Amino acid sequence: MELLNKQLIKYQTQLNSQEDVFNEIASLAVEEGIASNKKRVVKGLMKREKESTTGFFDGFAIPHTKDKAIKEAAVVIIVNEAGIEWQSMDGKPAKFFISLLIPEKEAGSTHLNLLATVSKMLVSDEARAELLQLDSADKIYDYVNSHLEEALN
Amino acid sequence: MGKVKIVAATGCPTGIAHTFMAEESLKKAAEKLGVDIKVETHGQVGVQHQLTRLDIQEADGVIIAADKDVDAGRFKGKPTIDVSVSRGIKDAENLIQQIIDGKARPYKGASNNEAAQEDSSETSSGKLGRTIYKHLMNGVSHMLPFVVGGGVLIAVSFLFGIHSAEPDHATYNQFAEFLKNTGGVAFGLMVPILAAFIAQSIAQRPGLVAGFVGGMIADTGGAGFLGGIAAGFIAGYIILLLMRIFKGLPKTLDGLKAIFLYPLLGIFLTGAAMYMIVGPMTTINESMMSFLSQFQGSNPILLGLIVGCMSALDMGGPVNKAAYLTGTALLSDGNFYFMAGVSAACIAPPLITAFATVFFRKYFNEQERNAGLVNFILGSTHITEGAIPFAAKNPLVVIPILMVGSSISAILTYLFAVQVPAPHGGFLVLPVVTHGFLWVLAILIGSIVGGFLFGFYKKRYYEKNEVGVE
Repeated sequence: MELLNKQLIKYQTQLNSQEDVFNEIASLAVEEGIASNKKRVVKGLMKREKESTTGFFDGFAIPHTKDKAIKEAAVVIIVNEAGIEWQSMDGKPAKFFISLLIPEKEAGSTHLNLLATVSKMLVSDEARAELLQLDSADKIYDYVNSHLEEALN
Repeated sequence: MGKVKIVAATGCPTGIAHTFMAEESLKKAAEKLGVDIKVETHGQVGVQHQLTRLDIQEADGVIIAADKDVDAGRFKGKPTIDVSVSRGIKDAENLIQQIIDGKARPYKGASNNEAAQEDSSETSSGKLGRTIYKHLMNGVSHMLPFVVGGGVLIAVSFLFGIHSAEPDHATYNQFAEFLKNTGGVAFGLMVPILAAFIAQSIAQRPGLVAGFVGGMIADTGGAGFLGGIAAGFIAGYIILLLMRIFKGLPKTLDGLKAIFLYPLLGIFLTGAAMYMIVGPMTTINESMMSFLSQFQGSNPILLGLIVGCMSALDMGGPVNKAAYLTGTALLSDGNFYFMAGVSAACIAPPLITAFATVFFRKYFNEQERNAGLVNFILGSTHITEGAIPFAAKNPLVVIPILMVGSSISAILTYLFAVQVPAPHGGFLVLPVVTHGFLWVLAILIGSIVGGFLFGFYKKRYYEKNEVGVE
C-alpha cells in the first residue's frame, strides 16, 4: 500500500496553464503504472475542476478525480515555479499541487481516509507554511509521509 | 450556560477532499473559539461520525457546509447556517461565531445555498430519479442471487427430462424433483426480497418488514415483479409516513415503536394497499387472455408483436401469464404454432441481457456480467425471470427494449411456421420442435437485436455519467 512515491513528486516544474498541470499529473500517473489512460485522467480532473475550484489558500490546490482508468489510489505532487491562475479561495495563483487519484472501485476505506488526511493537513496554516519552505522532492516526500504515518497509527 | 455545542455536516460531490477540509477547518475554528463541535462527513467512504438524534437535540446550532444532500431535514427547527462546502473551509470561524452570537435562523427545510438555488429545478428531478434508482438497486442486488441460484437449479432439473419432476411421469427422477422444488423456493422469494430491500433502502429495518410482506402479497397475488416494485415503494413510504406521525411521541417509547408500532401498522397498511393492487390482477389477466384470443388467427406480424410485447412486459406478471396460459390452452387443442411464439418471446429477454453483457462488457458491472452469463442458461431453458434483475433497475427503459427483442423473435417464429408442442423447457425441447433450427434462429435474431439496443442504452447512460461524480 504505497499512496505516496518519490517518483510521483515533481519539484520546480515549468508549467504554464491548468491544462499543463493536469497533463503532467496524468503523465506521471501513467508512467508509474497508477493509471492506464492519460486522457481519461485529464478529463476527470478537468471535470472536477469545472464543478468548483480545487484551489485553496497560499498557492495550494488539490485537483482530484475518481475514474476507472485509475488502478491504484495515489497522491501526485507537483510544485511549479510560477503561480497559475486557479480561482483559488484567496484569489492567489496556485503553484503547489497535491493531486489525489482514486480508482473507480476503491472498496476499502483505508486509502480514502489517508487521502482525507492529506487534504486535512492543508487546512493548517503551519503545515502550508512548512510545505512552502521545502526545497526538494525528497523533503516533500518525507514531510507528507510523516503525516500519513501519523494518521495510520 | 455551559460551553456552546455545535453539530455540523460537510459534503462535496466527489467526497474526497473538500468534505474533510471543511471538517478540519470547522474543528480548528471550534477549538480556537472554545466551542464543542461534532462534524459528520459525507465522503466517498460513506457517512462518518454520524450525528445521533441526541447530538442534534443537544446542539445550540447547526452548520451545514455541503454541496450535496446531507439529509438536512433532521435539523428542522434548529438554528442553522447552510452554506457551500468551500465557505465551510474558508469561513469556519465566522460561521461558528454566527452560531455563538445567535444569528442563525431556525432551519425550515429550504436550502439557501447559492449553488442549490441556481439549478434547483434541474437537480430536484435528477435527485428524485437518483433516489428511486438507489432504492431499486438495493432491491435488485439482494434479489439477484436468488434468481441466479434458483434459476440454475431449475434449469439443471430440466436436464433430467422436462417432466422429470412430476411423480406420475415416466421420466420421474427424485433428485430432479428435489432440484426443481428447491430452486422453485428460491425463485418464489425473488419478488418478496425485491420488495423487502427496496423498502429497506427507503425506511431501514421497519421498511424491510413491511416490504417483505407486501412483496409476498404481490407474488402470491400474481402481480409479478412490477407488483413487487410497487410493494417495496409503498411499504417504504408508509413507514416513513408512520415515522413522521410518531415523531411527537416521547423518546421512552422508541423501543415500543420499533418492535411493535412500526411492524404492526406498517404490515397492516401495506397489506391493505397491496390488496387493492392485487385485486384487479385476475381481471387484468383474464381480460388480456380474451384480448389475445381475438388475435390468434390474425397475421403473424401482428400476432408476434402482441405476443412479444405481452411476454416481455411483466415477466411472470398477469400480462405475461395471459400469453403463456393462452399458449398452453391452445396446445391442448392441438395448436402448436401459437406456443412457439410465446416460448420464443419468453426465451428472448434473458438472452437479450446475456448478449448485451457480452457485446458491451465494459458498460456493465461485474455482478451484471456474471448474471449475464447465467442468463444464457436461464434463457435457453425458458426461465424468463432471469431478465428481471436487469429490468427492475430501470423498468421504463429496459422493458420496452425487451419487448422489441421478444416481438422480433415471436414474429419470426410465426413467419417460419415453427411448431413447439411443449409449454416449457426452452431449447431442451428442440428434438420435438418442428423447424427447430429456424426457431433458434428467430430467437437469436430477436435477442441479438435487443442485446444491441440494451447495450447502446447502457453505453449512453455510462457516457453521460462517465467520470466519477458520485
